[in-house]
Amino acid sequence: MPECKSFQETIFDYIDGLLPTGARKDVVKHLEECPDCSEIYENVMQVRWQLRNLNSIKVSPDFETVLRTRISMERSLSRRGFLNRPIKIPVYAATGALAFLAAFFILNLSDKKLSNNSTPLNVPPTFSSSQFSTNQAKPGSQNTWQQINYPMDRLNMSGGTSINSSRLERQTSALADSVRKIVPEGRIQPVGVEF
Amino acid sequence: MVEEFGSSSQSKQSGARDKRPSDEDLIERFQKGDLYAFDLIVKRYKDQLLNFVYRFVGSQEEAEDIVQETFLRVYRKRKAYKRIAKFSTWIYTIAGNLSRTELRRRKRRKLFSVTDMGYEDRDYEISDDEYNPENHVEGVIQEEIIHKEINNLSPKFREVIILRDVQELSYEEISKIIRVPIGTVKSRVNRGRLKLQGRLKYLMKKM
Ligand SMILES: [Zn+2]
Repeated sequence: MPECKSFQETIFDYIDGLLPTGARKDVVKHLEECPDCSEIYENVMQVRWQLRNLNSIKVSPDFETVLRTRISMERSLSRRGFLNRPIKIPVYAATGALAFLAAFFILNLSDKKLSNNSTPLNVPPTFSSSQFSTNQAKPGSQNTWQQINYPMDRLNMSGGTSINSSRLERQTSALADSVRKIVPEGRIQPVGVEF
Repeated sequence: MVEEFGSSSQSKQSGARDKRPSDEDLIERFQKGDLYAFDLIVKRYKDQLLNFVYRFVGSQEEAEDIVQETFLRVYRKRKAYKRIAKFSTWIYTIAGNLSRTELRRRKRRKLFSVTDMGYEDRDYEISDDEYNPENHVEGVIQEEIIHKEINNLSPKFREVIILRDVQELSYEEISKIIRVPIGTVKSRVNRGRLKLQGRLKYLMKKM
């Protein structure tokens, strides 16, 4: 029918329940007479019903723990003044500090998380002073030392060697991103948006 | 300025003692340093936002990262919230902006195609369901097809379709969230619906 094109908009208002009674009656009448519009109407109603009834997903169980960890990392950074002096910190210093914190949190958390995992962990549960002082020439502890020194390298390794808590790693590198963002002189592209 | 709010919100709370606090009450409490109120906000919004962002960016893993980032921003920018706006509008705006940034970044880097990537993931999930009753498998596949078609819409149609037809927000709120006039929101929703019904009608006929 020729008037169908302009009628479509009215059909959508009808679907959304935005039409006054008189106009509603016109729509019903047209739908009864016009197979094309009536097909569109039926399809849209069905699709809309499907969309409303899509299965909902839920955040993973450690969502809030990860969030709290990230917030306390930020708070400890800002307490040290990192977050309040945007221009002065070179990007490597900020990421270095962050990397260390990140390593600390990851090692602690994933150790807890993976404690019943069969994969052997090469990672010390906490940093004890002996690990820092006695590792020099011992081949066995060298690995540990490297892990402490270059946590970001490890973060970027896909299928990482000793930690498989990839989500927390991603979250932590996201935090690294946000630190880069507040260090504008770094050549890394700013992330995030204004709102 | 804080004190001013303090007295009014307290009297409001005692007036409605058994009602659960509004979002706006919670963010105000959080602005005054109540971290428990922030926890409540997270509990209230985490799944709702996840579903919005998941349908918008297509991947559950990335959606969860974006929702994390959304709450971090609420945390950092809590002082920027003013009571004149609904809290839900504010937090949806943040999540929507982050999602759009992610989509743009993805497009720029062209690391992978959204739909292709999502598809592979999903093929995997579907095959996991092989031992379940047939109608469940069919439901899962159908859901995946719909998810894929939502993803095939261009972002500006996709976002409003999710907000309107999946999350059932009002046109007025959507208009505030994405900051375009109501008329534009409506015409985007309608065009999105038309596209979707065109692409999914073969599926609907089977039902
Ligand atoms: Zn017609």
